[in-house]
Amino acid sequence: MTKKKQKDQNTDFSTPFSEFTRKFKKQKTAIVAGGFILLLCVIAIIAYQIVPYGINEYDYSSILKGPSAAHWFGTDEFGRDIFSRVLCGTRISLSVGLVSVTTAAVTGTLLGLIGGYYGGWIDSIIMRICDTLLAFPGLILAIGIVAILGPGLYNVVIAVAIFGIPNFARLVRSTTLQLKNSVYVMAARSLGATDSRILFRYILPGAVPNIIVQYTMSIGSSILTASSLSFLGMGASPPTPEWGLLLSNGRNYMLTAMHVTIFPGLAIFMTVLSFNLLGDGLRDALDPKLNE
Amino acid sequence: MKKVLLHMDHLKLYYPVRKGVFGKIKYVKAVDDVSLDIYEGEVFGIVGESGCGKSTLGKVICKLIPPTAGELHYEDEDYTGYSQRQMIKIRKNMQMIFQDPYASLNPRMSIRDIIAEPLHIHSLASDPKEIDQRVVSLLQKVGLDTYHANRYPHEFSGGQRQRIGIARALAVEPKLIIADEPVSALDVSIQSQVLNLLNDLKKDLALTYLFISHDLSVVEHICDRVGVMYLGDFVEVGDKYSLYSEPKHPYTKALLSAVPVPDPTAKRERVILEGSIPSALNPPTGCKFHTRCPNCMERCKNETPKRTMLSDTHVVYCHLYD
Amino acid sequence: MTEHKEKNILEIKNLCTYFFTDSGTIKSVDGVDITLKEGSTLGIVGESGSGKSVTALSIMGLLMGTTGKVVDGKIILDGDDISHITPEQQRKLRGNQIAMIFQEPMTSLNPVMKIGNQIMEVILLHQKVTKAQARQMTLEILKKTDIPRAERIMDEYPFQLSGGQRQRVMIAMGLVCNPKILIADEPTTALDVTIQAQILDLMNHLKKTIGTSTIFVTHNLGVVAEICDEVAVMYCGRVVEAGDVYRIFAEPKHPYTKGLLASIPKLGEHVERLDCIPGNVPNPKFMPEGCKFAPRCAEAMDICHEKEPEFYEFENGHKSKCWLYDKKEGGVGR
Repeated sequence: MTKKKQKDQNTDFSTPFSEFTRKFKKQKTAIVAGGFILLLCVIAIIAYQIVPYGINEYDYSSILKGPSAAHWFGTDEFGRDIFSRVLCGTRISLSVGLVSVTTAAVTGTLLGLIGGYYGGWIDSIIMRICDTLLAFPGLILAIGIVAILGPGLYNVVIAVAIFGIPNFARLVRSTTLQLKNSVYVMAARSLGATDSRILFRYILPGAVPNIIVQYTMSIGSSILTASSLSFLGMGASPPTPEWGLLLSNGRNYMLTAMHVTIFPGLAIFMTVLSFNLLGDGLRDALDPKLNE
Repeated sequence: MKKVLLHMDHLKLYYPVRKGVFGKIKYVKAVDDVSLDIYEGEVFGIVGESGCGKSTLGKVICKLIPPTAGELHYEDEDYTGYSQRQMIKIRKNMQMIFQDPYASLNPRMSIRDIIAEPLHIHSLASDPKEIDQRVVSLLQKVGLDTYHANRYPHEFSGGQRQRIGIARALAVEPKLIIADEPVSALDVSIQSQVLNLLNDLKKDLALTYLFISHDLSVVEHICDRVGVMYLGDFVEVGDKYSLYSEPKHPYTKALLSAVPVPDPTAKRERVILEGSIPSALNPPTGCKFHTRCPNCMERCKNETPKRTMLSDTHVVYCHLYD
Repeated sequence: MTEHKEKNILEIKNLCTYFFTDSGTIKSVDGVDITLKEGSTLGIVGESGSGKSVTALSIMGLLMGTTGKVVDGKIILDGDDISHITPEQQRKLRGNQIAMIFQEPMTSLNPVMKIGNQIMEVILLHQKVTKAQARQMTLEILKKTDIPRAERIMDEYPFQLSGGQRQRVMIAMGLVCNPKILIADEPTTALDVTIQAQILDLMNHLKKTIGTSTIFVTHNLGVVAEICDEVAVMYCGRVVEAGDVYRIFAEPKHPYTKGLLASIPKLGEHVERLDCIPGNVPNPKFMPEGCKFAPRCAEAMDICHEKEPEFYEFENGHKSKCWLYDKKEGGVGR
């Protein structure tokens, strides 16, 4: 009676990352959106090198001309090429989005971890602050902060960051509350792990998927908020080619020269949509279906 | 073998619960005045049904939950009031194995990291090569293969994950292992594998076990001494042979007779208990078991039974014997 | 094989239920034959991955909404082939002719409905009676389950009841329409030992008084010995041994059954080591060729790794799927 050695049956070796890649490959829309965002990033970096015209190149001979071979997006009231201006605005919008959301994410995550893990009065204070911030309609809050700090792109970044903190804090706090009583965290404590080890090695990695999704979604809304603030004259100041500002410029020409508003508006729309679609796809791919 | 490894003195754990916004605070007496000694080298089993406090007792001993009152001693050291930092020293000697193999391993850490974690926490090894060697030797000790170290928990079965949990507990070379229902969540055929493993490890590494379980047959198989808990305290404690063949407390008798035996021809004298386990928020007065006890007397309703020594190794808490 | 005068209330032939997931097809149940005699209790025993729960769900048609589908096989209830009936016809059967009780009574009872109403709902769905009559029937069935203070329980919610009481309610709900068969999926697994004893006692009593044909799915061999008349042992989606309970326990024929019986610690038995079955249940995506148990079997022969065995029959309907009993292939014969 020969006993054949049991062949190793675990030939589906996978790490959490490879699981994620496998699921993500199925999200076609998200992949397209991700591709577009990558393109935007490239444009943001090399925009000033590749644009056909300078962003402040006045040309009074072709004012408010519609799209043509020479000017793909047409010209504005000073004869400036809108295509070049939109392209250069990419850098501004993306950096405002990334910097503000990253600040919000880091601050919110820390607050959520601490509040969720330690509870008590720390948690109460953090949560009350978040509740207060969330009670304001988003844009009004941002306007309020800029009103206090003064206009300008830097202050817009701060305003948008502050506006975004409560979302991250709440998200991370709820994951922390959930995970801090899980068996493997209890096991870590029984091994003797310190609180900070548990927070950063056990709980934070568990919150990362949610943070990533929230991050991606937030970039979209923060770009929108920043553009809105600039549109209202509280953000970037002319002649910066910020998209919101470009929209604002075109206000007076909505009926006569629609192209001045359409193209910056389209840029904002496509960018925000791509981030949202990417976020959706990431959420589906990161969904922890542990018991498949 | 008579050296006392773990000493519990009048240990209590009461959870405060407030009924309603303006209600009084009532207490759930999860562990109610437990005094017990665990000797070096023995396997002590704690059995009981849900709500008896056995799992909670295990966590209190590890100070995962700080006790409300009472004392805990390891060898001769009183660690009841130790801070987290001070506990690290004690934790090196006392490790826990958990019930749910699917929840007790961090899904984002590789097996190597999971087993090496205690080595990092207690600064027992820093050289990656040394860590690797120790991880590999631990994996082999629990019957797993070296290449498993690179994998992640979701690729393993329940029995294998439990072995990983055991390997993790052994990494610090503890003397006492508190096993909280270690085989209850496993398939029957895997249970026996893990029980045999625990037995072998006990002999090879001179371990002492505190084995918590609701399964009386498993406890009889692996333990030397057994304690039966009901609603927060012990009702009977004794060496396995006397407790199982001549149970004295009515609850122990009912418990033993309730276990279904895998033999269709066996005729059992069943003691069917009335009613269900009372709430730990409102435990009965006197002897907590009196509401379901077939031998209940007047005394039992008002007086808490004292400890009666039936022999050197067998004690019972019941008015029938005092 | 001696003639059994009782009729078969349920016959399952070659049931195949597969789960179609993104990562592959899982053949949970692959060729299962089961016979349930009228008035008897059949235990389906197996560990995780054996397919016992999926078999029960397949009979009830409860796989909708999951990725599972019954791809082959016949299910014959009291002579009627119910394998290919419409979902509406299936719904009519459930609760009425086939009833099921589950492992976790808390999650299978509606938490926001009073107990009385939940049971009455089952009656009113399937029988043409008035509300008052339904209420009376509910009270009667609750009393039959020995639940204390049945009148009061009718007006309570599930969270007010203990585990044992909830399970009694589930049993009442199952029996209220006098179904042809009752399927109990691990009904005592989540209960404490002393409560389990109460419920098993109740079920034994109901067996004698009402006599519903029952399928009892469990992994606990002690419970099987207590309550079942016949047993079917499942492994990896197949039945590997079947027969009456006395024979299976006294003379198990299949190495898996033997291994299972040997590996459980028994009260009163003092052994140093338990005989265990080495290895693990195979990953359903990577099933071995031939007999699924062969990689773990101490008595495996070459043929075992190549071809799946047939059923070999012993006396009184006892059968086992194992090459050991095929003289041609080198086995010992019957």
